[in-house]
Formats: sequence, C-alpha cells, structure tokens
Amino acid sequence: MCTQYTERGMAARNAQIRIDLSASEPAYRQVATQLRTLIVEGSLRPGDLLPPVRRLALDLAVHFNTVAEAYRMLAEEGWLDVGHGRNARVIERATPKPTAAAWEAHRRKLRQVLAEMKASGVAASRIRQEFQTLIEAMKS
Amino acid sequence: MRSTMFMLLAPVMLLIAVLFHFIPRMRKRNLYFAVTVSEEFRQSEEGQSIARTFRTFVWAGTILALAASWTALGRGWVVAANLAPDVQIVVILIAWVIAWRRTRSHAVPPAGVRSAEIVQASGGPTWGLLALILPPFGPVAAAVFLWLNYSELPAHWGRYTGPIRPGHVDHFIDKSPLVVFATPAIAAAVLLLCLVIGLGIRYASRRGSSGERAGWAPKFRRLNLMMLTGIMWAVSLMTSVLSLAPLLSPGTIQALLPVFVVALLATLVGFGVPLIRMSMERTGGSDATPDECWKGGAIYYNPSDSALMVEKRSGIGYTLNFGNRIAWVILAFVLLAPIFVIAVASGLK
Repeated sequence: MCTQYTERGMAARNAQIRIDLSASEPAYRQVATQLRTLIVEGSLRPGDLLPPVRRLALDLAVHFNTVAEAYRMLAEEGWLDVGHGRNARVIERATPKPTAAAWEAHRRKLRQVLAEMKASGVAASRIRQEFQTLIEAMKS
Repeated sequence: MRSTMFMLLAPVMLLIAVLFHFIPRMRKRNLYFAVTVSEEFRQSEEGQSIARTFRTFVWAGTILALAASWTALGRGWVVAANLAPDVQIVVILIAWVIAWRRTRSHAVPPAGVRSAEIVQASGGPTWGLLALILPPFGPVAAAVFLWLNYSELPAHWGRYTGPIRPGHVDHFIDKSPLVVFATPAIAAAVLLLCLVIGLGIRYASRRGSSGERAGWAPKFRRLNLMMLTGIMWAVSLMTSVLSLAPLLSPGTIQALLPVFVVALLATLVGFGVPLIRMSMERTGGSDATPDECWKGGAIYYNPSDSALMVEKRSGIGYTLNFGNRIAWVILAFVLLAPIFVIAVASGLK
C-alpha cells in the first residue's frame, strides 16, 4: 500500500514537516532533511507522491523555489523522482556502503548530539532508550 | 430631503465607527494593530492607552463627519455630504497608522515555526468548488434570458430610486441594450471578482500551522470560504431578479427582495460571529507572516511567500499578498470595475 497525495486527501500515515525560519539552517535544507527522515523512517514509502511544490510552499509560507530546491536535492541523492508536470514520487534507493569519511562525519555529529543531550541533563539510560526506540522505528 | 439623506448616511458612519472601535480586539491575542506582541501586551497599560487613543480618534472622526454631513445637507451640498464618510475613513486611517507605529516599539519576534502535512487534502469538497463557481452564472443566465426575450421587453419601464411600491414608479426610462444589460453585467463583474478571491483563498492560501492550535487555520479558511460563498449566492439571486425586473411584476420583486436581504444578513451573522470568535480566541501561535512585510500594518508585501491570499492581521478575512504578481492583476480589476460601473451608469442617463 502506498500513501498518495491526492486531491481528495488520503491521510493514511501521519507525515508532517516543521521548519523554523529563525534557525540558521536554510529553509530548503530543513525541508529536505525532514523529508529524508520521513522516508528513512518509513512514514513515506517508495511510490508515495509528495505534495506539489506550490502546495507545500503555500502551507509553509515560503517561496516555491525553497521547496523546489529541497525536492531537487533529494532527487540528486536518489530519494525522489521529480519531473515536469507531475508530483515528486518517493523511489526505491539502494543503500550505499558508507565511506570512511562519511562514517567519521556521522560519528562526529553523533558525538556532538550526545554531548548536547548530556550537557542539558538527559540521563545516559534515557539517551540509550531513545536511540533504541528510533532504531526500532526505522527498522519497521 | 436633509433628514432622509442624513438617515441614510448616519447609520453607515456609525456602523464603521463601531467596527473600528472593536477592531483592535478582533484578532489573535499576540497580534495587536497588526504587530506581533506578547499575549499580555493587549492588557498592559501601554496597550490599553494605544487602544484608547485610537478609539478617541475613531469617534472624533465620526462626530466630525456626521456634523459635516448634516451641515452640508442643510446647505444643499449633496456631493459634499456624500464625501463625509471619506473624511471619517481618512481620520481612522491616520489613527490606525499612529497606533501601529506606537505598537511597533513593543514588537516581539514572530514565531518562525511553520508546519505542513505531507499527506493531506489539497482543496476541499467538490461541491464547495461548485458552489463557489456557480453564482456569477446567475446574472449571466438572466442576461441571456433577457437577450432571448429582448423583443418582448416593454419599450419603457419604471425605475425605483426609493422603496418599491406596487403600482408606483419613480420615473420611466427607454429600453436600450445598455439599460437592459447594465445590472447583470455589473453583478457578473462583481461576482467574478469574488470568485477570483474565493479561488485564491481555496487554492493559494496557507493551510499549514504556524504554531497555533492544530486545525485552527483550515477551519478559519473554511469558514471564510463558506461566508463568501453564501454572500455570492445571495447577491447572485438578488441581482438576477433585479435584472429580470422588466419581465416581473413589482409585487414579485417586492416579495423576493426581502428574502435575499434576510439570506444575506443570515450569512453574514451566521458565519461572521464564529469567525470573530475564532479570531479572538487564544490559539497559542502567531500567523506565518513577518512583521516587516506588513506595510502600514495593513498591506502585505512578501515576494518570499508564495501565498496569494493571507489572513488579515486586523479584523477577519483575507487580504492580498502584493508580493505575488497576480495580486496586482486583481487590484487592476478592482480599480477598473468602478470605471466600468461609472461608464455604464453615465450611459444610463
């Protein structure tokens, strides 16, 4: 079963994105990052249609180019199939083997996040539990 | 003559004054005179002082305009008397800008957070679209009917400048295409404009959330569309009947018009009251528009926002985003429509 973006609306799965215009990260990156997360988590699956650029831009109160850029970025990464005159579609993507450099970059990011969590007083057991939950959610 | 004209002008001016008296309260608690403020600001001493000054201007302008209109009518200056509401509006606009400028010094950064459903309905029910599209066809159908029965129309017919009384007309005019088709043409133009605005709200306004209670924005949008549709239907039926006046008896018109007026008022009250309530409720968020894009606190110009219609920051309803090129086309239409009406009206004389 795939969740399709239709005129009549078929809210089969809960998929929402949230951007913060006051954040330092550009809006198109925020859109792309969150869509990628939804795809990886399985909230959006291969075959699912994304909202038209115009529709998503309207709802987020941003320029069309912001959403178009996010879709283009995800298409280049192999997550989406985009074309003129039709909605972007989530496609099957072969998982690449991480390079040593990518692995190191992810490790560094993870360390930073963990340090931030610990610094803000989150207990180690809670962090472990949260990570476990997130990994389980992505497996399903 | 003086008192009759004054009795027509005074209620309009008083209604405008009452509307603007309450307008500072008719919006989310963190929007005050179109500026993003803290929820508590409205009740603060400075917040109340701004509202007091604004209301003093509103009522002073109204009294000034009423006095000017009464004096002008006494001297037989009807045109000057008709300009009195414009004086009132100018005073209110000045008061608004003063209040807006004062409030700006207490502005807080608006919430930059916006969220959107990835899987959702893009429009609304099809019957809603149909209900929105059909009203302009009312006067068009009336015009076609008049055209098909043009030879059957009387050579002269009565016009009413006051209340309609069966068996009595104020004056007679000769039949001509301009006279026959003026009412449906003007009505169709106005309803077409309403249709464009309705389609703008339906397809080119925000439905995502900007931090307010979930579902607030779609409900506000839906209610606005329903009110607009109701008004369009009432206006369409009323103007269609008026267009067919030469073929109908005055008694029929007299019987039908109050029905349409009641329907129009029922629509305004039925949807207007819930909309005002929604506008005033504590929603927990702001709108998705930056303060600096609200010129004078009333005109929205944001080329980075793809929306054509955005929620007003004062009062209820939607306004145009002049950062969108289509808004300028609509503005041109709005400016050209009165010229069209004046041209048609002058042709009627």
